[in-house]
Amino acid sequence: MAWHIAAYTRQLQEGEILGVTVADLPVALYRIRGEVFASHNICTHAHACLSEGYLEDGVIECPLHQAQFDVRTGKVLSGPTRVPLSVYPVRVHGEEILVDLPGETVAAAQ
Amino acid sequence: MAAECRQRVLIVGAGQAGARTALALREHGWQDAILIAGDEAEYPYERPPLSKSVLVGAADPADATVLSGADCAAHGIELIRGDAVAALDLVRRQAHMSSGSHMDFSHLVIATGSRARGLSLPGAQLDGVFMLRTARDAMAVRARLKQGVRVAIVGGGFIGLEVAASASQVGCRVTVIEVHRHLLARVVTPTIAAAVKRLHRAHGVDVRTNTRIEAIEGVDAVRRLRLADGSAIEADLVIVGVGALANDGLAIAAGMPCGDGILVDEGARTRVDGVYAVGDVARHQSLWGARGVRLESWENAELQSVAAVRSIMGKPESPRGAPWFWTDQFGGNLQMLGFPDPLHEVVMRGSLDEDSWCVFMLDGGRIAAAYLWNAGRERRGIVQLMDAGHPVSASLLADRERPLRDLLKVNS
Repeated sequence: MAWHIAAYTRQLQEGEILGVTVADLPVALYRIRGEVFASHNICTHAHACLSEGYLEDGVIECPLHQAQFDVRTGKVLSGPTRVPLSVYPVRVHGEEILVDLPGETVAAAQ
Repeated sequence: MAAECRQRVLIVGAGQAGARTALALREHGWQDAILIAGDEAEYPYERPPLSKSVLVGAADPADATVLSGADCAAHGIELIRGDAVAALDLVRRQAHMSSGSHMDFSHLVIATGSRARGLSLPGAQLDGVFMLRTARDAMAVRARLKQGVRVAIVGGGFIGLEVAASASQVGCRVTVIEVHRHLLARVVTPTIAAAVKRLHRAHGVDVRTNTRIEAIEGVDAVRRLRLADGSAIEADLVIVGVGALANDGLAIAAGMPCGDGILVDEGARTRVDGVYAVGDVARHQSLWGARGVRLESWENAELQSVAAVRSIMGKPESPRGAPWFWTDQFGGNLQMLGFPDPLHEVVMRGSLDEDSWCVFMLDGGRIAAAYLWNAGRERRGIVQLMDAGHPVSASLLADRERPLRDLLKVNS
């Protein structure tokens, strides 16, 4: 695992989703009641960006086929998939949103 | 002796609806036995990928398994594969299996699905003529879909068009033949049908609407389709997608009231106490304002199985919202909500030439149906407007600058 700067807090408004690419990985960032969460940005069912989906009450719904995931845990809540969403730890340092992504530790934050 | 006193839910049919029923029974606290039986060899799976990712080789049917062997073991569900129920005795509460054995039940859920309607044309039995319903069908078609193969698709409905897109994607030369004036007749508006036709033509699919087939010709294998005007379409492979019929034969033989589907109420109850029907085989007496509808959809299989379980467990019904359906073709995603009617007022949000649009069908100022092209993000807001039954202004709906969430606020 390694911490990466994924975005800046000004880019992510309350209740919104931001799709970013971090270390070649598509990542979705969510801001829910001030807190930031991160997941893989591609639905586990079909190739669709969750950042194009619908966020409500901590649940992200895929725009294609309605798969719903808890953005805090990645758990499948409903929809045509049984594969949970990968979620990543998030830290906010000042303006920076950092996510802890799997993979080599070369790019680890100092 | 105690074991004989236990109740047992028998689920006839091991597709998505049957499997979901079994799983939902455990989720809702059913403690007694669950037996699910189906005639297919595979573990229960969802069918939407069969005409799309499975055909292009991007997925296998097993990737969409709903109920695996491990699930059965974990949840104490007994699954019989490859053996169909041959007859039902609703008085003795017994099912007779094709293999000769019989099963007792206290509750019965009929989830026998639907079957592809065949063509009653000369040559329909020739080698190379396929229908698409099961995993086995999909794998047989996939084996034939090769670069340059000439594929004729009979029927411009959802299955036909999805297969056309998939076949085209793997390099086949594809012709779609539809007898009606429009593709997706009765399901979408003529203008949306025209947009779908443009999409297919842009990808090289030869789309022939208003075209009637007289015969499928060939000696041993299919060679061509003979059309009513005397012309012919050469084909190596014919795929028939002209609708589906409810597998309600067991219920009819058992004396239950049916009419292309087993009649059920909101709780998936049939007229026979303790007997339920779910999924494609069920005909809803009433659903979201429509009467006598049968829905062949992923969503219906998902929701109606839960409705049956709630009825079995004596839990109150949860109301169903506007029905939802999707299709994926050439990387585009079309979603449909509600029940359209040609008499409805059509309101466009965006232009059909764009990459994303919504079309609404208004009935007395309320949204009765909606079509979303690459606009799944809008779905939730639209569903809220539809299920609340709020009157909405056509001009506000058409205004893309105005978020749909705001319309709900305006109206509440």
